[in-house]
Amino acid sequence: MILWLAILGQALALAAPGRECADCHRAEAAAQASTPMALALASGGDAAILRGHTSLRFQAGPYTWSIRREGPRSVYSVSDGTTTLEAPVAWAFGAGVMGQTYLFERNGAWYETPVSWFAATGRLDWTLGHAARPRGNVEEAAGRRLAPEEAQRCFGCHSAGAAWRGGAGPESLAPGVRCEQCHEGAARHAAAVERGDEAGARIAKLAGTGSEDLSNLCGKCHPRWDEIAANGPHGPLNVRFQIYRLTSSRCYDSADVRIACTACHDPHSHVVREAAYYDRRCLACHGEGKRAAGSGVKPCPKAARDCITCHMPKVEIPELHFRFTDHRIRVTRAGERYPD
Amino acid sequence: MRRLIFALVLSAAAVWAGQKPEEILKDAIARHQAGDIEAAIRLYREYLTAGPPSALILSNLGAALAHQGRYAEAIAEYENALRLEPRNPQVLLNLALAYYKTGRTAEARDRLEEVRQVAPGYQVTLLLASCNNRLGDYKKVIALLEPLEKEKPEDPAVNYLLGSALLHDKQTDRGAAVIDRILRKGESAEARLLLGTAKLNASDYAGARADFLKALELNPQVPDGHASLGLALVSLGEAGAAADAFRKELEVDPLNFTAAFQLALLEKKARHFEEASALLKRCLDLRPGDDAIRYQMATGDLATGKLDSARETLEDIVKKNPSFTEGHVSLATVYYRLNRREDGDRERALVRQLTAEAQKKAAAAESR
Repeated sequence: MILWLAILGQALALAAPGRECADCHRAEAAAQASTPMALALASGGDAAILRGHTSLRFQAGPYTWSIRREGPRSVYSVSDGTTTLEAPVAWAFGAGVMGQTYLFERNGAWYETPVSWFAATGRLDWTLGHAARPRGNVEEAAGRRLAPEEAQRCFGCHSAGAAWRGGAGPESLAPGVRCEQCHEGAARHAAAVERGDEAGARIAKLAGTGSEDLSNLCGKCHPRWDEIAANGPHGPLNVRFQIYRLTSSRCYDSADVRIACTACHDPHSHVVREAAYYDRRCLACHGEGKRAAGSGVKPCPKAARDCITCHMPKVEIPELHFRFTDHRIRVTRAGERYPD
Repeated sequence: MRRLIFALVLSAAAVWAGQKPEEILKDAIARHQAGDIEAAIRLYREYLTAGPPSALILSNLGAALAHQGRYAEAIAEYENALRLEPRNPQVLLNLALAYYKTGRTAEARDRLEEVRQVAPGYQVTLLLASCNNRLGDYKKVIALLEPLEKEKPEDPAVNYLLGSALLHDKQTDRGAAVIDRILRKGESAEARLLLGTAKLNASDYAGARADFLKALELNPQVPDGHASLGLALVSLGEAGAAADAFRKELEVDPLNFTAAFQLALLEKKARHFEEASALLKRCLDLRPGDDAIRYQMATGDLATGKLDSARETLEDIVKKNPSFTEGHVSLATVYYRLNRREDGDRERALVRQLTAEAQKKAAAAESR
């Protein structure tokens, strides 16, 4: 408990995203603070979804899973009617746009809950991959034990500055994605600016980064093309891996910044949901006159607006209760098989 | 040089003591049979210095050295013996056993193939099948053991090895028949292990785990017991417990390929590249030239920035295995990191093509 209070204290102290960064980069910092990436992790006590849902329940077979609010904390429990296992929800992963999964600590190890909260239903359901897991007793039904390295990877992407010194850890962290995670050297840059050291303040600009390098940068947390191409999953389940899908597009060009992740998405802002917003990005290559420019691409013969509604169809993953935008940009055909 | 002088002194001392070479040999054999191996080794060496060269005595010396676990020296003596009598089946068998014990399985298999041509028999066939099992060549194991199965349908060693090979070769029904024969003899660790393997093949991971645990309860040293448990645990997503199981197997049998390879994969996934690399080197000793191991080594090099080494290995692997998608994926990544964009794009296009072909095949199979 003392450990968690210490972590919470540390987290709150760092809660303002990139406070020093925000002194100069006010607009970016202010916009980023409310994005799902910034809110990718919250303590069990702080998680807005858990504060808003005081009693969540899910039943399958002989087991019942529940998360209930008890004062400033949320308590996770699993029971087979005879034996009950309980633990405070330590961390809530995900801002809740699609859903949220929870981690609890037991005997010095991290466990992933087999049930997650889903935005579309507002209820608990199976965490992806858990429905078919064998459950012979309450212990097994409670969750999947994470190997220490796996837990470190989870916290490494969903928080900043997670410090591990053995044990279950981490001993300190700042929840959510922060400046330093993408802008390597941001802290050094801020310190150099503070002391007026112009040379020391130099930091790599990401604005002109090519599509391949940018994919690798985003790929530190969003699985890269090579990871999915080599290890799967194959089939519609991989629609949630945007870098893989985009890279598999016919129009993907490893050197062209017009197809890089940031050509469409500003990581400092919320994802824009209006299809028309993306037209300008598509037309940067497919607009009238581009063929003459020798780009080898054709303008669309059907329409010049809302391109993504046809060329980036939505694909639902029922287990996640969510419709993903397929980033494999293509000419879709009626009844086509999902291109892997 | 010092050893040579020492041997000469001993030889001179023996001659001075009036001992003829035949007497030295007689004494050496007596000591060997009495279990005084150290003295036997010394006397065999004395005899070989003083007496005429002999494949039999060199082989005896090798056997005495092997008895003491001095396999490298034993192998050298067996090889000396084979220079005198290249097709001597006993020497070939001894050499094969020494190779087998030191994990030089492919060399053991080659020697055993030679023995089998001149002196076929139960022990040689079983050992040869065991080598092929270690090398993952399950079809050869089956081909070797099927005649033996007809001769000795109740032989537990034949049944266990054959059942295991059939299950690994996904010949589930035939494997089940062999398991039945073993089970009729009563509960045993080996039977549980085979049952677990059958369940593992059928993706019943929890059932497999239960059988493997039972097998280990019956015999904590049962060959492949911990390795099999590790495989079930990997499939159940219990990476930490799986790694522990593989480590236990390697304590029981340091030459167990499955345990070494699977543990290497887990270490690599945990980004413990040095540990993974050491294990993969051990695997490559067990299965020389195996491209699955070389691929893992290359991707380890890629992860640790040894790009040229990774490129060289991957280029060779995809040349030999042009439809190996993962090889092209990793090679594309290497090329991009080396700023060879065009090569990267070419490999990526190949991946797209291979993935589409695989999807088409899967769809056709589904529609049948």
